[in-house]
Amino acid sequence: MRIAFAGNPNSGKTTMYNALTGRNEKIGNWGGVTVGSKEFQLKKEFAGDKEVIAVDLPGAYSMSPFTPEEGITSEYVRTANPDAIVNIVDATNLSRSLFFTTQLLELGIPVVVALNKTDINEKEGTKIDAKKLSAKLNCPVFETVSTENKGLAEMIDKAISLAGTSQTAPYLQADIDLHDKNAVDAEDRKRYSFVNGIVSEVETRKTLSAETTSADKLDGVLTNPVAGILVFALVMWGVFWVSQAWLGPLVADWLVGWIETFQGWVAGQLENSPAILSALLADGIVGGVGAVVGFLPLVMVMYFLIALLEDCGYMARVSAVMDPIFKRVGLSGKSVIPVVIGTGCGIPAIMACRTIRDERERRATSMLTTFIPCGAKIPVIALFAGAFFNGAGWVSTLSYFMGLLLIFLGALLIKGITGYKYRKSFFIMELPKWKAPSLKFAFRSMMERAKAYIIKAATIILICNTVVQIMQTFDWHFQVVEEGAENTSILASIASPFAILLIPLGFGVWQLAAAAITGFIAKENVVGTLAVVYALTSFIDTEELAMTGGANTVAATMGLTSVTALAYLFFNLYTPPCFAAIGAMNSEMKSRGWLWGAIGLQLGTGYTIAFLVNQFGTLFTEGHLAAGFVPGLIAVLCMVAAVVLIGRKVRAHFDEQYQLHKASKAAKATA
Amino acid sequence: MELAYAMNANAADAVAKEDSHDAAGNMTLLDAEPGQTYIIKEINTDDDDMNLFLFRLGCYQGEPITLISKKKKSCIVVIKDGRYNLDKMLSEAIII
Amino acid sequence: MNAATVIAVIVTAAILFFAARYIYKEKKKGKACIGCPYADSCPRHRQSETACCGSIEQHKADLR
Repeated sequence: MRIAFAGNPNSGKTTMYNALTGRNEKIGNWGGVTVGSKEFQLKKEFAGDKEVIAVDLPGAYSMSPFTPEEGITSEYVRTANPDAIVNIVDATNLSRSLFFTTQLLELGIPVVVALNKTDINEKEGTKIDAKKLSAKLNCPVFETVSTENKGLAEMIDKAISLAGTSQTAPYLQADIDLHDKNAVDAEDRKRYSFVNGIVSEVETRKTLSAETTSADKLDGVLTNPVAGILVFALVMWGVFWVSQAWLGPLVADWLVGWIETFQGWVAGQLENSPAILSALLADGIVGGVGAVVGFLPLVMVMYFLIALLEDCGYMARVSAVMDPIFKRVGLSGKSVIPVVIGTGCGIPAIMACRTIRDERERRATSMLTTFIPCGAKIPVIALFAGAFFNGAGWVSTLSYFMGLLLIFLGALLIKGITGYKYRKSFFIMELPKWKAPSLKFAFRSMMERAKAYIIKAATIILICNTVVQIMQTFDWHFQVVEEGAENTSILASIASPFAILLIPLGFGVWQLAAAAITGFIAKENVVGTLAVVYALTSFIDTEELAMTGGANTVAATMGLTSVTALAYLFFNLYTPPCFAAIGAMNSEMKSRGWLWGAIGLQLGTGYTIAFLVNQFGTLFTEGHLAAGFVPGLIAVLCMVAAVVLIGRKVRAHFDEQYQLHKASKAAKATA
Repeated sequence: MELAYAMNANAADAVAKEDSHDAAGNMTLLDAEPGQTYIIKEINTDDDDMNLFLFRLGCYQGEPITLISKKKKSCIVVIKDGRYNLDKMLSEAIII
Repeated sequence: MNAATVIAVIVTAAILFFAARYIYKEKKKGKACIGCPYADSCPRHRQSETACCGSIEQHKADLR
């Protein structure tokens, strides 16, 4: 038996779904968090002996989709024939929600209404007569609070018992021609007046929703173009500072101590064993994976803080305040949400682009959003900040705002290439009510992500590290590489050709090239591979390193100055993301041209940024340009030329289309 | 009931105000006073899908709309019982 | 060959085996990204969903 959860955006569907199934799906206090359907079995305590599958759907205002994710919902309830529908109604906005409810009731599938968020109504003194509402709608109505599990058991019981039966709709759309816009309009109007009639009978309000409250004053500040952006910058800086310069490293230092002790112990046990075994187990597996896991606390603290941000309702305000700026570069205010989610992981960020209505804006956002350093890139940032910049917190903040800047520049570039003509692009964003973020939820979300991180480290990264270790231990004749002849190893010979390309960027050695390449599988691999190829595992613990002069050792071993280190860091951050994210991009863009454009743009950006940082940084610090300036410049100019050419081609095509359009219009006019 | 009554009272106010403005032509949300409730006269976005979407939110001709605050490039309004941030272009398209 | 070596070889082999088996199982389940918390909702592996997105445009066209 399948029960679908449908309702307006941000009415609490996923929270209820999580409570009923025990899942841990992403929730947040803004409309459009869920962008795809999810299904899972109900918990035993709710379903009893029956097998009941709950289906969580993206929020929708009505059966006619406006954005792609709304379409998933209407498509599902229309065609998938669920046995019952639970319609989650935001009790604080009854008048809007019931429009969709009456449409659902017409489908002939039994509907149970869950009047959610009744706790907020109690606080505000709004009363809804559930009995009367139930009689008016001719369907069961339950008052629920899904954050506290209140009323859920009775509600789902009823839904299960009703499954397969039929209900009579209280309002049926008249038989009209659905292609006649005016008739549809008139019909919708009638439906709304029917809804308004019900609402005026069942709802009494103490505080009018139109009254200005203290929350409105706060919104006024947060959506102010100057103050709002300042607050946003401050908030993001705070998130990075706490997670990467204060609390995160505090825990990480302690964890790394344990990992190192363990690694030392393993190496000690293997003293009398073949060197290859020691290298594989102690350096490759324990060392490489340990280097990645050592950064786990930083990542966890950040996920926790981001979850708090998403839960309180701030995201909608950020999106509102950033809209004018984003619009200027050809994106939409809604592009901000992927950008903030992207600090956690690029894949959900790319999927969140579905809430953007305009196709060009949607594709452009999913193309650019991975410039924001994600959780997997944090170990890379923290490693370089620790080894080359004394653990400075500004490195991660700089990386973040650099990512933002690249998004703006990239958006301008895309706008130029696609020959974006002025077109009306409207922005409307619901500002949800503020709520105190739930620590429990943030904790759960953090643990979920931590689990995923550990699994990733123990599987993919472990295997990659082992492969890298083996490839650098043997040469092509499967002979163990002798000391001093490391350049003959399999890894070195594969990575060297790439290293040549990187000379203008200041890091043209095969070790660094290999690390950057493995980064495409998962960005944490950059750290793991560096740990393996340089046999350096203790570079996370910067404090200890500082005491033993270790930070300098790391810097010396890798042969990087602080300028080239920054160039290498930026190269890894702004080149294409991991393959998984590229796959997500592919499925959201649904266009080969755009996908290759995205990969090309990201490669070009990473290269150019690293080139500029290296050459100009060296010019500043040492008074001369770095090696390989001319070939690098040629490469960059080639990329610019490619962009110009593609832009011309696309625009020519665009004009052609436009002219065809005109021609056909003219033909029509004459006919 | 209380709500409906209050809304109607406000609506009557708004109608009176609107009359005084009529001579000067149509008024958009951008000309409105913060804190006041108005009745929507017309929605003019030149985009059927957008009009339809606004309609589903309860933003259509004859419905009340309250301006909460207004900035150079955006404004915050109350439609039904929800608060929304609208950009300049959309605010201009809502005639009150 | 001492005892430590034997144990180490077994441990290494076991770790690699379980890691590889986990990846293999996940791949078989249709998850492309191992350990990704969003694997369940990842649109790449849900043809039905992408198919439905495609038909929205169709649906919209119908409405017009």
